[in-house]
Amino acid sequence: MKTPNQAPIPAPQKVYFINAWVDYGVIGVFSILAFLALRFFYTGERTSAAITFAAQLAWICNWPHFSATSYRLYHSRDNIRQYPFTAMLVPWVVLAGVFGSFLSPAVIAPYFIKLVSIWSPYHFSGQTLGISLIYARRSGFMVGKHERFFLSSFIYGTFIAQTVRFEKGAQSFNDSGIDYPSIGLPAWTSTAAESWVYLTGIILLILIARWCLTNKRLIAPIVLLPAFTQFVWFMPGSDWLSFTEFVPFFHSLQYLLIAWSMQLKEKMDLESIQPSPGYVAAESARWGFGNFVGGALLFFGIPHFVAHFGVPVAFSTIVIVSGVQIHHFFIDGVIWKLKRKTVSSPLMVNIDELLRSPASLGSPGLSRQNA
Amino acid sequence: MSATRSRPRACWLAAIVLSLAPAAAGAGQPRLADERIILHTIAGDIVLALYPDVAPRHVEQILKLSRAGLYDTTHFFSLVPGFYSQLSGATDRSSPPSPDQRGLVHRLKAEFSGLHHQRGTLSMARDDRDPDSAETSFSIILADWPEGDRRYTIFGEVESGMEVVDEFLKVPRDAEGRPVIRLSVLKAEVIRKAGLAAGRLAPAQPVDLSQAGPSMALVGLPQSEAVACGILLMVLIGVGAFVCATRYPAAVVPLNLMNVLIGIFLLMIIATPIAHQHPALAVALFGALLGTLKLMSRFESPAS
Repeated sequence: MKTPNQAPIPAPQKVYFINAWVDYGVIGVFSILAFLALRFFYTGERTSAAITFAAQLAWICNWPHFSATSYRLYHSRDNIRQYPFTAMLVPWVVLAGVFGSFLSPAVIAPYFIKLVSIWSPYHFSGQTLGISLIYARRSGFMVGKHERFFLSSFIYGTFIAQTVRFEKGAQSFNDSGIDYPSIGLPAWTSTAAESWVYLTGIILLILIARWCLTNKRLIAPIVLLPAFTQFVWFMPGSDWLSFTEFVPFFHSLQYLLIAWSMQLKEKMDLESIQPSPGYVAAESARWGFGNFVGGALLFFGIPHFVAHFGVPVAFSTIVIVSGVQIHHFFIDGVIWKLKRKTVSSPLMVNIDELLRSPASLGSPGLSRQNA
Repeated sequence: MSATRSRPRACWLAAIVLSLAPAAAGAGQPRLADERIILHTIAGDIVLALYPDVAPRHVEQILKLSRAGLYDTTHFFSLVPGFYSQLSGATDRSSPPSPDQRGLVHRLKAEFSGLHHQRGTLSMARDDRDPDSAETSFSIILADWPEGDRRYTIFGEVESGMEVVDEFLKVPRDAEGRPVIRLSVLKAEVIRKAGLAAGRLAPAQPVDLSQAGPSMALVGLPQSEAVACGILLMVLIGVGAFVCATRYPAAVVPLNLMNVLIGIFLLMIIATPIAHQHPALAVALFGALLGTLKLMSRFESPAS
């Protein structure tokens, strides 16, 4: 484990992308509060009110977050050149899966959707781990080998525990009229997976407590917030169906905060733009509107267009949306590698660096210290 | 659009518990509605008569759904001899229902009565945890079942065609009672009793195992053109990787990983139905799937 002498201690305000209130809220507190509110003051059923509200939020948050990923890969030729297979091969393979689903709704489509249903929470876990590591870096908590192992095990453990619960025994599920079966895992796997979550969680807390004692300072709670938030989503939260409707929204909210910061910082650096409120407002509006339109096109426009060819719109929607998601998982898997300086450096940005010039900030930014 | 699934949507399938206790003394015969529903199945016709005075909301809804064609291409997905034969929900059709059809489906408030569950009774399926959760799926009861009385809504009876259900019961099933082939309802037709002419109904006949479509959940090592196409895709990508190996070595990893992903996808299609009977296979399949997802994070490194 690293000591404070080996790691730069950042100024506290640089821990956050915006500030403590916004970052804590977006990264986890909003979703945890939503869970508590629904758990204690609302039904656990999938009510039409919950479904409708979640669908409305999807327009402004969930769908744009998919679009933001595609934009990030495809908006420059340089990016496409860097990831040619993700950019050029994956879409064709995904399209093959989509066409296969249309041609074989009873064999291919159910498993195409099933693949997404398992890959999606796995993908959430990757984001959760990534955000944890970003905040660890920003707060000066150097994640050692053991801490990383148990943090990763805990996060992915919650995903496995949730998935195993759905995949055990002979269950049948229905999504938009398409039936698909569970894998049929034995009952003991659920107990094993949940035990693993609690075991790794306890060991992680012990390691962090040891780090705090050794370094005589507390770890910033936001480092652990993403993992705890995912625990709430996938363990107690997955039983409360009115809440599960909103989990994709909260996942997308986290993503958009990071991707938005990255977009502003990267463009500013690439085009040598001077930081200013005007730049932040204009670029945010352009980027946000573009992603809103892109999301609506991917999730509403294309499925409804395909429905004109005689495919029921519910069926075309679930199949095309599954394809979009698989494409998204591929892109996200390659473009957010924190080991790459071009990725990690802009991710250390703080809103102050975007609003005001370095001279007026008065101290070097964290990104420069860690870069 | 939700990026996660909401699995418990379809958990009402196991709504009934087996019992063969004798029926209590029956109540009087309820009045039958003028309309009959004819289920034209792959083994003959089943005529359903409904009880509008006993379960008016259920009867109204079942008639509305039948007229809208929602029960067309559904299937009897669960059969337990001496107990019940359950028709799938109206959303579980060979082709997905249209938005208009789906808009007709809503939850039904329970209408329990003093009637008894007995052979031929139509009993509405629901989520065990919620009496008011019935929507479209219902069972034909095959023997006396007093435990279901006042717990499940009785809304009608089989007027004729129990022989068809008996033919369904001859079809091989797995341990969960799921038939190995799809026992389809080709069409559900609403007709007035007066229009039900003798000789119009298709008599019961043995299910032709070679003609019926495979039950989706039990598609085994099939005969599936879909799987063949997937294997062809793998071969093409494999050839591509071979061709690229010398000139574009960076292409080998993503092409091979794409092959792994397609391969595990095909394996899911083939092995999932079998895995239900073999827990070790299910664990191996799940582990392989997780490993594949992990590998996908190494799909591509940035080109220099």
